Amino acid sequence: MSVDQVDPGRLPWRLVIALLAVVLGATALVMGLRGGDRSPRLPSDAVTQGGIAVYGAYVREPATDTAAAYFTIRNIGDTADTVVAVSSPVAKSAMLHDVGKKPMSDEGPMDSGSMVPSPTVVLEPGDVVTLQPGSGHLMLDGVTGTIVPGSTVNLKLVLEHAGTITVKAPVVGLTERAPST
Amino acid sequence: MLRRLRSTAALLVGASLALTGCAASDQGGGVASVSQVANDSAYRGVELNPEWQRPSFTLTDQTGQPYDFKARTTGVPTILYFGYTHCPDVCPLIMGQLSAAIDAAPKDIRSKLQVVFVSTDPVTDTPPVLASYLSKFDGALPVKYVGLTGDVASVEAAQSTTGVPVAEDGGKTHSTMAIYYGTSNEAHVAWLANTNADDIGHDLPIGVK
Ligand SMILES: [Cu+2]
Repeated sequence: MSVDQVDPGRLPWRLVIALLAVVLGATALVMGLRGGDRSPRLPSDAVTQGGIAVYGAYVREPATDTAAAYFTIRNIGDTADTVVAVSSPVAKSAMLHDVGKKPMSDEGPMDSGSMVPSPTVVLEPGDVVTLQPGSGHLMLDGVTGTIVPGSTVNLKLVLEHAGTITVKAPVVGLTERAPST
Repeated sequence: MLRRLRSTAALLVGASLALTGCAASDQGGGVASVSQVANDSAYRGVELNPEWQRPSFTLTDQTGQPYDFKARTTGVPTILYFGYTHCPDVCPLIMGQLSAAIDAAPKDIRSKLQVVFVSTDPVTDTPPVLASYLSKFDGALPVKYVGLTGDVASVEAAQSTTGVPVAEDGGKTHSTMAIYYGTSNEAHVAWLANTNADDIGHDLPIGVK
């Protein structure tokens, strides 16, 4: 195991970029990915229940027994609600990660993947939260069965007031593009 | 979105150059001039200016054998990426997009290009785990991917010498740059994990030299 010496001249500006990314990321967390449109036109795949709409769901075909699901969730009601649990019959466990993290496109070349748990997600009336690669996902851990393009995966979101919402997420193949949101 | 990505990256690079005082004098100074250069970029990925040099490190490949990165890939177009196999999010996305782009690339590139995936979670990513993972991505390609692992200190040193931020949190928070070294052993472009196959494919023939 041999490694060359790091070129000392290369480090400082990368550090500065990393710091800038952290600052931008923190700003994003404060601002969130929340919109305020109270009377939205929903996509045709939207599932609505008790003031909550979920749409644009898909699961990326896994390369291991860990998969990620993405979707948009919008509070179209008049009262706040909270996502308190997630699950899927194809996974031993499920968890939301990095919800509200700024999309990768805004963080420059030193962006990092991360896996910060988001145990609850509060949705004020009008709030829209979009999970997309690099800015939030529903992690499915210990997946079983055949999760391949052409199949669908059931995702269950439990909301404090709206109750349990089940969404059918189509599987997107490993080499396919991410559906745009 | 792509345009915004490029200009933001340029801005960050510009700002950092300005802050460290490396480049202001001969470019007329300021963020604007650097942004302008980047907007003229031939690449759809992030242009690396100045270019990055092909790094040197030796780790263990997915067959359990030592792999001297620089010796084995010198003169070969190579994409280097640091990630971990149980990443459900950005790693399968960029690996899949690389595969799609290479599969559609001109024959001279497709038949030579080497992808090297270095694990940031080498405790989990043993050679057999890497072999299984990479086989999901390189099935259609003439050049099979190389997966590298080792002890934690060695994979961290490989990241440092390459010039990416060293992964944290057991490898789960990691750089998402796929760095493309041409036959000259210099990298002029890198793709972030949200770059799609079409944009990678656009850059492959330009950065191959
Ligand atoms: Cu995750």
